[in-house]
Amino acid sequence: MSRIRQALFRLQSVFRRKAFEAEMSEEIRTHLEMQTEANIAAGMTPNEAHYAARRDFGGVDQIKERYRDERHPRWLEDCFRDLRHSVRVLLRERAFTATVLTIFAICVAANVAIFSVVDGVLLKRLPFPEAEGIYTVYDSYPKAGFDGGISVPHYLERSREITAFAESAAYRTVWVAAGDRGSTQGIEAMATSAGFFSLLRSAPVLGRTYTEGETALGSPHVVILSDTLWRSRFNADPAALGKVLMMDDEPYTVIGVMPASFRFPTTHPVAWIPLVFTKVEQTDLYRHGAMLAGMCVRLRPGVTEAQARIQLDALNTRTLKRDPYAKMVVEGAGYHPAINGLHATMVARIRSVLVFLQAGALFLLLIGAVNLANLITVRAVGRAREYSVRRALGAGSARLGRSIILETLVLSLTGGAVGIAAGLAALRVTFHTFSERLPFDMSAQPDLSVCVVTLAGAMLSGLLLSIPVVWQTLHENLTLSLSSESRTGTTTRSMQRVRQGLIIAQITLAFVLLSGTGLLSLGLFKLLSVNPGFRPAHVLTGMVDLPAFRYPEAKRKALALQISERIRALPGVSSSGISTLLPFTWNGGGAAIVFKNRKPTPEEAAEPHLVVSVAGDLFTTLGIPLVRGRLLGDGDVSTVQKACVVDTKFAQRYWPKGDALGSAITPDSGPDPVYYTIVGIVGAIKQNDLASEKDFGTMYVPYGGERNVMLALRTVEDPVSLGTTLDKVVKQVDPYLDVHDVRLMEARIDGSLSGRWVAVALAGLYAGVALLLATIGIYGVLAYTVAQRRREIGIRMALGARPDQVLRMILGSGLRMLAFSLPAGAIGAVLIGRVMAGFLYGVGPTHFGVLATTSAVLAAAAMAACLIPARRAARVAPAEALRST
Amino acid sequence: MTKEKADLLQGTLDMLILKALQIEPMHGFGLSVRLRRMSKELFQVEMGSLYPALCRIEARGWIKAVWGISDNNRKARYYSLTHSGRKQLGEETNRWETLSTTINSMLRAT
Repeated sequence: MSRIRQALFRLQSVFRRKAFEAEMSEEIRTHLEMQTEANIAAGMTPNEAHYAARRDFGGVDQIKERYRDERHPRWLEDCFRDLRHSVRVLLRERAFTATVLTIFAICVAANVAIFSVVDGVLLKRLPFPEAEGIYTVYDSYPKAGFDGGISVPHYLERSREITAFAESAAYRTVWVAAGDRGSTQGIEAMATSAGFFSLLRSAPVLGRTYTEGETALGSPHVVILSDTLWRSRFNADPAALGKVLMMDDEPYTVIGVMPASFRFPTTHPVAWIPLVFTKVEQTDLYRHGAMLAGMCVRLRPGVTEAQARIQLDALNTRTLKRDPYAKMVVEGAGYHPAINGLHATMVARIRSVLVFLQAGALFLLLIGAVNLANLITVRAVGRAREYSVRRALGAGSARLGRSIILETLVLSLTGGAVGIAAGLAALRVTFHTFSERLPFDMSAQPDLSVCVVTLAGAMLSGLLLSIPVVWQTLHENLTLSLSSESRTGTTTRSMQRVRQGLIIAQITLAFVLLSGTGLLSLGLFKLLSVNPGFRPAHVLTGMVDLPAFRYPEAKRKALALQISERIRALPGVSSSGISTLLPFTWNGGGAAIVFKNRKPTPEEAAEPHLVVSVAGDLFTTLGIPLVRGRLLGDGDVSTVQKACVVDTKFAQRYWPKGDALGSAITPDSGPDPVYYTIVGIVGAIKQNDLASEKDFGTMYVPYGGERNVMLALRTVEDPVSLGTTLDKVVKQVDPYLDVHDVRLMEARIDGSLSGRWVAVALAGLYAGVALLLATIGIYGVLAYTVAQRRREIGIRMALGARPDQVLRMILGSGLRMLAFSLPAGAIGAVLIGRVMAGFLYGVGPTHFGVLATTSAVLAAAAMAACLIPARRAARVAPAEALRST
Repeated sequence: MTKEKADLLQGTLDMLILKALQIEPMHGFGLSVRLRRMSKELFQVEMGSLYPALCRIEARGWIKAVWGISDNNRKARYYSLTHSGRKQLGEETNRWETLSTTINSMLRAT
């Protein structure tokens, strides 16, 4: 404690130096005067008294000096003087300081922003108490490309029989029409089991959660509101508890409100209702139906994930024995139950993107560091004479070293601080992008520790960056360096080599980043030109919900056809259709196919196929070509004789000889299915991902009165203006209906690529900065070399060298650096291509076009950077160069 | 002068200054006079030691300085003992007594 006080006391006197000096002089003067008076009182004459006082006191200046030493140690004061000097020098060399600060700030900002996201999403725990004990349990069918859901029988058995699970909960998404008749709004509600909230250790801010009894079939309906719904429907009124919210025309009593921070297990659930299982869901028929979105468990304290997995597998072995589909799902689809940490499951989708971005940011930091090292050494050589003069005048090694280190530290700390500020600003933007995709509230707050670590890193890099300069300066031979800038001198070879090495490293790194970006962009470009199998231009789409309470199934068919009919009659519309699943609207799902005439092999039986119900001219509207047979018409919707259409992929999968027409199939694995006769084969289309190669084929059946209906219409002109008309037309049929999610088909396809766009944009940004840094680096080094060799060039020209020869000489030194770095960069690019293989579509890790383009771009940039100093060299006037010092 | 010796002397001077300030606050000149009187004119403290010592003790928080007016109407810096200074004086006195008793008994030992 007292040490700190002493330090503070001393530090204070450094800042109050003038006041301290004045006080000290005053005190000594008073002392002398008092002594003089005392001497006079003792009988001396005033003159005698004055001198005696002085004599007794001793050397005033020596005492003052000792006084000062006691007050504040010299080194501290010197440090401050050096600091002031550094700041002055840096302010004078504005171009250098600005460049260094910008580089520092960009690199630090990129890392702070990306790392804060990585930290918040990947490294922090979930925002639930004791979240490390929470796991997800699901059914995995890897061969069928199915992962994530779980069936009702599996959930019930596992939560009942596995002792490792202390608690378990299940949930599924339900789309309901909330609100009174006439003003309904389609919302995403989560049906969850009673233990859901207590498992997550989350409680409502108002009211209660539901009990086990309320999840029984036939019990009165209750609902827990999200903060959003509470605000929008009930004006955040605490009296909302006990009120009734109509959902699908049935009354639900509000029993609780969750806090705004709670959103789970999807990104934006609006309400939670008790999960009720129907009788049929619990039968073996639905054992692999994946009727639940997920199952969460909390492991018993002390139980490990591995132990839980053993129990899970043991139970699975037992249940498979009574499972009628066992052979089919295990052999055909590779079925097995899986358990995974909740956090890992939640972030799995964005993990690779984040890791990739962080790697890019670190790469940028590396390039930035190399660039800084280069700039600082270049500058140090420029100041070699200043240092030499200072040493010759008696500055000690320690003193000189300290001033160099201080100067670099001022730069690195300022750069770091600016970078943190910029990074935090960028964080607001980036974090929003990522948190939107997460099913829980991740704190977007930048960590104080991140900032502290960044500053510490900046300081460390400042120290590291100053090492070569200090070393060089202190080991320099005084006379040599004093003369190196003079008439006879040349630059030191070792320093030159270090600088060139740094430039080569920088171009190499920039090469890697540029070619990586090239590969990513090329992949995206190829993806954009992928033929989706249909013609998305001029197609407008929208969704309509036909709630059960209003429309019985039979009525829906007529209604849907009527809507489609009216849309087609609109001016400018060439065709319209209805589908339960338009391409690029939804992800996943599928059913196994059963054949009327033969038993499928286990593999065939486990392959999921999309089954899409259609009405109207859907195929014409989307532009899906007919390959053979006929299309489905409105007549097929009403007839008893069921017809269906399959796509070419489907037909080739099961009828490679081309005899698919006329076969009877069904997607219903139940005991007494309705068979559909194949009447036509249409072209295969990309269903939800242009990059997807894993597509098992689609079966189109006549619309059977499903609740969720999607509209598609093709127009002659630009369809954007029809958006509101669409809603009007639907309202004409029934004013209670509304069309939502109206979007162009092209917009849906673009939306499916948004993740790739983000990656390409960020990689492009990184690569751009890297290219800029490399160019600055080359320019800096060559410009400096030319300035240094001015005299030599002058001599050459005086002796008869032509300007173009000088130009070539300087360009040549630039080219030499390129010659080293391009091959090295190419090797790095190939390696990085291998790492990125998972992100690339249709592009191999080694793409010669990309390598060649990257080389050309870098060479052009390097040449441009060389040209300015080279031309300056060629314009050197010999007489002037020789005369200057 | 070796470091240890300097420390010993410094420490001693610090203790004597604290002792001199025990009765009342005093300025630098008064302190030098009092120190001389306390030693019965035998001990002449050098100004080159006194002022740095005052500064050092002030930094440690044992004394504090304020500007005041002297008897003959002169502005002077008055030093006074702080609470921790008083405590320090007690400790130093004890330590000194122990030390001098020990050394005396050692010197008298035969």
